[in-house]
Amino acid sequence: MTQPIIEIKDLALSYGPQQAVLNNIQLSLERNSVTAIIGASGSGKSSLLRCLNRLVELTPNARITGDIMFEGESIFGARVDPTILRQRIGMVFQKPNPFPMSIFENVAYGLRLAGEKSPRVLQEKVEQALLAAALWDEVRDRLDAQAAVLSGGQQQRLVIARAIAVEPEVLLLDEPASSLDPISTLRIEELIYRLKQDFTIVVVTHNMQQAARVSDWAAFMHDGTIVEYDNTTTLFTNPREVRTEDYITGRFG
Amino acid sequence: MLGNEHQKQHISGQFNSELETLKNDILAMGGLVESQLTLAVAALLEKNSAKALLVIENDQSVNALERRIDQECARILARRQPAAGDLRLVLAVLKINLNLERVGDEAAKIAKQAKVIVESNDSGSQFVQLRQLARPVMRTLRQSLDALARSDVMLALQIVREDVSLDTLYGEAMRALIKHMQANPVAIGTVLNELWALKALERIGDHASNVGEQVIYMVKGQDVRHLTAGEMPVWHSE
Amino acid sequence: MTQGLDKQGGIWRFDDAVMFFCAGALVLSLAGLLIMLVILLVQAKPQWSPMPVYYWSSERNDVEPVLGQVVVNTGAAIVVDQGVLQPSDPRILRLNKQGLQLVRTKPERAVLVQHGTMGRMYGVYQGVDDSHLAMVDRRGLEHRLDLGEVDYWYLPNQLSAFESLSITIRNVMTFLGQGGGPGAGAQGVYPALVGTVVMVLLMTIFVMPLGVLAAIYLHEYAGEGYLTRLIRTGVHNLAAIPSVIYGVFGLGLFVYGVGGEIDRVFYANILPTPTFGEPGLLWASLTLALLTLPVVIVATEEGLARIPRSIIEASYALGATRAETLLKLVVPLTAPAMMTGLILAIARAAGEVAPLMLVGVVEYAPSLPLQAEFPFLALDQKFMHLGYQIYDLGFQSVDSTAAQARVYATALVLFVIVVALNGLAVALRHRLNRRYQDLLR
Repeated sequence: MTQPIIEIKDLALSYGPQQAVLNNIQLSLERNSVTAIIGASGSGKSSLLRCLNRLVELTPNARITGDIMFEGESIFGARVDPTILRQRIGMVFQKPNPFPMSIFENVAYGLRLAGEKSPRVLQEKVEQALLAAALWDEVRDRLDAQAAVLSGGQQQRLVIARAIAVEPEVLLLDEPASSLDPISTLRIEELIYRLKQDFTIVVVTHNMQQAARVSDWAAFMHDGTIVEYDNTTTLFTNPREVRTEDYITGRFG
Repeated sequence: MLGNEHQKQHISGQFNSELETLKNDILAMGGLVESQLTLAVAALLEKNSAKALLVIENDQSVNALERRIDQECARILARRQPAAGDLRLVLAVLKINLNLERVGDEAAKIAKQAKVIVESNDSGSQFVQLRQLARPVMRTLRQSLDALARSDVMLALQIVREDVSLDTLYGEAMRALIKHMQANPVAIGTVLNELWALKALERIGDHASNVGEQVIYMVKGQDVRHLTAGEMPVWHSE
Repeated sequence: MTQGLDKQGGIWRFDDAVMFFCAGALVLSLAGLLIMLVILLVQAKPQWSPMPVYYWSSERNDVEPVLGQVVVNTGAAIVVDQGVLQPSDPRILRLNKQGLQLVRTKPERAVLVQHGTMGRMYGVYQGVDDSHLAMVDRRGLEHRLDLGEVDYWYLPNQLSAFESLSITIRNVMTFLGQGGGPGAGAQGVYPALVGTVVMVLLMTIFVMPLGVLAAIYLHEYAGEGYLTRLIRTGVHNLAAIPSVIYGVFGLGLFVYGVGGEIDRVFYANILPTPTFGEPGLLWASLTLALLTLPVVIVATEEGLARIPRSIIEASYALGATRAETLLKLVVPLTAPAMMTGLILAIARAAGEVAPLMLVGVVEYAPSLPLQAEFPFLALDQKFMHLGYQIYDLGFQSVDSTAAQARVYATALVLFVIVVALNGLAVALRHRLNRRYQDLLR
């Protein structure tokens, strides 16, 4: 593996004294790869994802120890501006959450925040993002329509377009297809496959088949720790840990 | 128990029983093929055409069981998307099934040779070479089925390693028979029949070795095919 | 033993009883509302609709006959408006039915004349020529009225439905659009209407920024601590404090405190005559702003709380700061909720009387609170208000029985204003809900 784009070192997270969420997390993410984080509900996979863009700090009482290096620099450094970090590490959420604005304004939101004012540049970048998110053909004639008129699958591709419009380096996907039908899910998975040319992708999912389909690397989390991290084929055919085996084969445990 | 390193049950009871059925069927397939081979070898050595006919007849059951096991595997793959140990179990069973069916075919071939020999009324050969090879091949097949039934990696590894010695035995038997043919050109017809049977036994040894390899893959997830002895992984029995 | 599928429990099943009681409560509430509306309409009717003109006379001719419209019939007595045709007679006359064995007739050709300078007159129509209208009064004397001085006239006892309706509409317009004198003599409620609206709008200007900003701080910045909960509970309870207490508070703080101080500093030359140191429009608006502040805060906070957390997180995840998220996303999204709060506040303020009596309302103000020249608002002046008008007409004026129709008519105007504002709030909230449902689909 070349120099990892993200390196998590001894990361621990708790919400208050009684609520340890993550423990002793070590993880290196390879550039331009898809890493899947699987695990049961409450295993801490979403919390881990939210640490990567420091979104977890919005939760009251969140306490983080350890460190996360992004391009060799600590994201918790005193001089790091979390809003700039979040422009470089984008995120897509479980439920499609477009803003109640037009399709165009949704995608332009992040660009405007970044200070882009030229209508020509905005138009261009919005189109590029929608093209990259494989949504352009479906919305090119109605960019001024409310985002809410789109179907769930289209909305999810819209929020992916919104996230990639600001050209982040890393894309965090938190259960990106869990509320979608199988066809929309496949579209999102195909999109993930194509996006890894340009982005490093981390996807949290409790759909193991999905993780097996889309990812290059897979981490299995249980009770706030990473039980096993390996390349996806190995993890799904020949896991080292009994707990991983039990989880992916659907056994009690 | 086959393929189960640990005793935990699947959350889906139906999946459990499907895998259970698959395991039972592949073991039944092993048992059936083994008895076919025993019977075929006996038919040849004893020049008993009734036994030979029985083997040829039973080959239908072997084929039917092969089809059923394949269908079960396909169904589990399609409906359960098995992973990890379950996936390896199904993949291994698919290949073991194929190998065992071939063993059944070879046994039927031996039985056909036996029938030809009985019908030709040639009582000349004592099948010395055949006897020498038949015992270790039958033992190897037996061991490979034991390894499968008990998920015994050590035993399976031993079988894979010993395949070389079976090949050596086969080579020696071939050379002996060729020498015999050169010495007695009259006996060429009989010896050729013996050669066919010998070849079948050698193939059965290879299939048994393949079963051993699949047992190793099933239990350990390691592909040991086409490895030299030096490249073989080393496990210590627990 | 098989039970079959028959209903258990006979006629009075518990299910039916529960439904019956719920439906009963609903019917009672609706009936109450309906009765109130009907009473308002019926009692306000004489104020606007043309009523018949009657003629009361004694068979023995021992008392003078009376010609006019019934203002109110209390059962024991009839109050009659007999107009101003004979200035020596009282305009409002009280007939005691038991004492006077009067016979009532309804003269076909009775006429009602609205005279431009003198007021209303009743008579019996004689005829009309190019310039004059001729009629006889109750005593049989003939009067000729110059048509140029007559606003309008009609024969109330032989009106068609259409004429009746157009007269009603004209009367309503007059009632809403004209002022006149103090008390029952006034023709309409225009100054009170303007006073109410101006005061409410001024209050809006004070209460909205304050309430919205306070709610945003409380919801977005304050965090979920003990103190926040205490403040939030306090704000909710503030809405329950009786409004007259706000009046007392406003009088003490704004009128005597702030107003007195302003007078001492800026208007020292005309002391002891107070300028801002007495009740007035500004202090009334501020007092009501204080009164309606909880409504605005609560509504805005509810609106803020309904914005899905996921949308706010999405904004942060795109690199927005807290202020950017607030201004670009949260505030526009909460705008409908703020509007709801605003309209609820207006509805509440438009109906308040008690505190206003202490801080600025009078029964008769000679001028409107709106002025043609700068600063356009008479902030230091007292003003008139619909709610206070009702109280004053109904209970304070000399001939309150005669003013009864006016009381109800004024109440109806206030009722319609408040209902309209509340209806607007409901419609807005409905739209808001739909928008969120789209969002959360």
